[in-house]
Amino acid sequence: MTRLSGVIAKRLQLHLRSVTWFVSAILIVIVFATSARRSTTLFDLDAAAFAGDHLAHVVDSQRVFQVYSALSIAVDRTPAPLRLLARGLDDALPSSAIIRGNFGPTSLTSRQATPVSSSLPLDPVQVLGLFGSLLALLVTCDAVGKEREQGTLQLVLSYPVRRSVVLLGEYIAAMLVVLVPVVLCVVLFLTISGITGRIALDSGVLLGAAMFITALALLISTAAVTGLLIASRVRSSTTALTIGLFVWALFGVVYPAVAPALTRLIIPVDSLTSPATSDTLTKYWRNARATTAEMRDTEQLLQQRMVQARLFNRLACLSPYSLYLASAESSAGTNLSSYETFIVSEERVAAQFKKWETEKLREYPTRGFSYDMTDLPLDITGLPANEVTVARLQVSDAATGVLVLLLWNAVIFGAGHITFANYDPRP
Amino acid sequence: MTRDPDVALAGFIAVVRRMALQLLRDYRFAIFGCGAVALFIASTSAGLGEYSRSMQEYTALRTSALRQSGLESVVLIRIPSRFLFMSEGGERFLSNVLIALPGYVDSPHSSIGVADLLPRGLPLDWSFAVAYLFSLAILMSTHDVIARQRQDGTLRVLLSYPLKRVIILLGEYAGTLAVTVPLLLVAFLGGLIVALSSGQIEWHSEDWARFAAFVFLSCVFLSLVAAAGLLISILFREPATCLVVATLCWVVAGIALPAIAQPLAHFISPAQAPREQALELESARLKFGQTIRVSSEMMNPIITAPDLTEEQKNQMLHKVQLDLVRQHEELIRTYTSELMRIRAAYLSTVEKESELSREISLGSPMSFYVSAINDIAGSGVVNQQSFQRAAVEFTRRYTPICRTLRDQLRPLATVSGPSVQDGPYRLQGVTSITYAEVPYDHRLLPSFGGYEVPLGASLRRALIAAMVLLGLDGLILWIASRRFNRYVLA
Repeated sequence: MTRLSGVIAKRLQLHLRSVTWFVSAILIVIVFATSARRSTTLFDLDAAAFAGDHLAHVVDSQRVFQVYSALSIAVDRTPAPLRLLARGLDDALPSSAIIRGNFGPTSLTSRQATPVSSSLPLDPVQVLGLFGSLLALLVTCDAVGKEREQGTLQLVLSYPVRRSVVLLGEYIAAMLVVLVPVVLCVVLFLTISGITGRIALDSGVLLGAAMFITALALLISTAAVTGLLIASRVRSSTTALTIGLFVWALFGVVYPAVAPALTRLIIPVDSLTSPATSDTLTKYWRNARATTAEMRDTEQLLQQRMVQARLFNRLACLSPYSLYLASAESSAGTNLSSYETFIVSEERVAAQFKKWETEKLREYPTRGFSYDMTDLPLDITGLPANEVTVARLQVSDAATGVLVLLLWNAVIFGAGHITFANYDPRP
Repeated sequence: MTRDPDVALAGFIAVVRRMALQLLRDYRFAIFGCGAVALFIASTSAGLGEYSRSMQEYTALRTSALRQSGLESVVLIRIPSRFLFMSEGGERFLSNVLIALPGYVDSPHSSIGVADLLPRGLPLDWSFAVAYLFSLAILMSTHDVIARQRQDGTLRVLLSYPLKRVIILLGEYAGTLAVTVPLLLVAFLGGLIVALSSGQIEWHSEDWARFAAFVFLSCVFLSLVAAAGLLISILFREPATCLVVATLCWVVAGIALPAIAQPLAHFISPAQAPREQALELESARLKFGQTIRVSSEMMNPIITAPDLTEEQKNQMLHKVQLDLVRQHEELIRTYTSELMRIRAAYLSTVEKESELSREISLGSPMSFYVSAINDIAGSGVVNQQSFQRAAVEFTRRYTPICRTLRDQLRPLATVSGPSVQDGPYRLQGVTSITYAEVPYDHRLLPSFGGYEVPLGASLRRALIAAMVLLGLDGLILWIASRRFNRYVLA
């Protein structure tokens, strides 16, 4: 044990003294702060948009006495608190359903967000994953080669320590130097968000954050073991670094860029016929209401796209970085499942509403798309209330992602262990 | 040192050949270079796919928008740029809709359509492939040229040539370009063939000029990257250090610099917070609402009167409403223009901030290059701006026609209220007139379209950008030659 801690201490000293680590850590903090700021701005805007939408829907559902209009009630989806870290599909998916009972289609509308101009459209989760893994690779890739070139490796291997312990020491030291700044960023960000009242640090949020940090640690660990594998496979430290960079670019940049196209190739989506422009226009002119045909097309399209998105999530197993993103979104509650929760309550409320409407308003005459309120006042006792659904953390989805990441780690670490055992330490 | 030009030329050519061969034998150049070429060609199909998707969406939205347009407002949908594959320019983040009202264009500030659920990831297009992938490939193969030659002893041989050190350095530089430029041309030609053979875009004769400008500017940009790599290899002695420095430089120039542009712009010229705008709108609403609320008090006694028949009620309501409309028309106009003023002031601060942020991010060579290509392609922000200008022009023509038509058709309009008027600003309690169901000849309204970015302006901007990049290139080479003159071999 003391031997292991000796190796770790020695490595830590080396890492902490290197300029690379220092500059990279500062860069990560700066870029993280920028993306955290953008994320916070978007979060505030969305919270305000949700509050505005919800209020408008409450007013709408009560104004039947004032206006000759159809009754409507709404189901609103609150912004998930942890979208501060990973926005995921939260913007793309509909955020409220306006149910119009027997006279009109249920229209699904998305939150009207003011796009925030940003030159770095990356979530905090993406920043930490990309740059954390890059740093882990930079730190580990030249660990063995450099020591061999300097001649210190022979000294290290002459200690009465097994090679696997040396490798483990390298691994733990690298994990420490990368994880500490990165996890500090997350903890600080969540604490500040908690203090400023943006999120309530309750057990759900803390569990989600813990799941996220686990996934992040595993991603960085994957990068570290890959770096060590490369280092013990390749003799020159420069070559090792180059290969490390290439691997990083392949899994972190190229795969995420290609994966959507790959998914579209496997499951193509039919061309649009008539998407509901009313999504925006309803908010502009309230009377611009989607037709049944438009809403049906929109829903069909949404269903097809959800099938695509599910395949995309399954394909994420091919790249640790994508896998990490998928589990981060699950633990933030901003993946597809949060929408499924929403649509279940939408269907329940719609069924209640239609039942109530059919029973209660049988005697009212109708006119076009609304009731003719000549026999005022309309009695709306028993009208189902507007609902608000809260995003649920998908711990099981996140846990699956974490398990697959663990598998990646185990395989690469095993390979690294075997190669390092046969490493020739001569300069 | 020789003064004989022939010897100097022969020496120069020898250096160039040496360098070119060294690069060709370098596995890093092979891996990264081939990877970049493959991704470049793949990016063309990605861009074309994006374009055909946007066009489908545009067509569908236009059909839907025509149904919603009329004498109240006209919904204008932005036509996606044909050159999305060359430079996407953040087009997907820009709203694709504007609403023309009589006397005013409003931006609802969000796109319409069904959102794609797959993460769009990076904007994989030509300018991205060149700015980030090719630059990385070239940096990866040039960042340690001198340092490595020093390490394996070949630099000693090179410096023994009877040549000035500047010439040797220029020879190394020319050797790099002699290998990379043909590689680039292969990639560009491949991309062009994919684009032309797909049959998804119309290719006009003037587009050749745009393509040529793209090729020229890209070569200039990448030669700047090669010069930067050479400078790094002179400044640092260990190849491993060179690699780390080059990577950090790439990350700082490509990611960190553009990342801090927005916060910096916000610090210098902050856009008005949406909350402040909402508060201003709310106070205007309250101010005018007080005056207008009287109307609903006039309506309620009639609605709830027990001794009137429905027919009588309706007649009385209609009369009261018409009176109210007349009384309130002036008030509504003042109110609406007040709301528009608040909104326009807000939008202008937002516009100012994002403009400043764009300008600051030009400090990064990658962003500078991408923005120049964006100018050439006429897509993204450039497309959006010309769409906005066209929308303002459209509104100028639409307003008088619309007002005349409205005056003529007033008797047919539906008078509604007092109610929550359904406008962008929720005019509480304002009586309104709707023309949604009034029949009129749609052909009387002006048509909208034809706002492609003119070629001349694009090429002028591209030329300026090329001059700037060339100047920077010269500066880096000058610094490199100064350092190289004092380079210590041992």
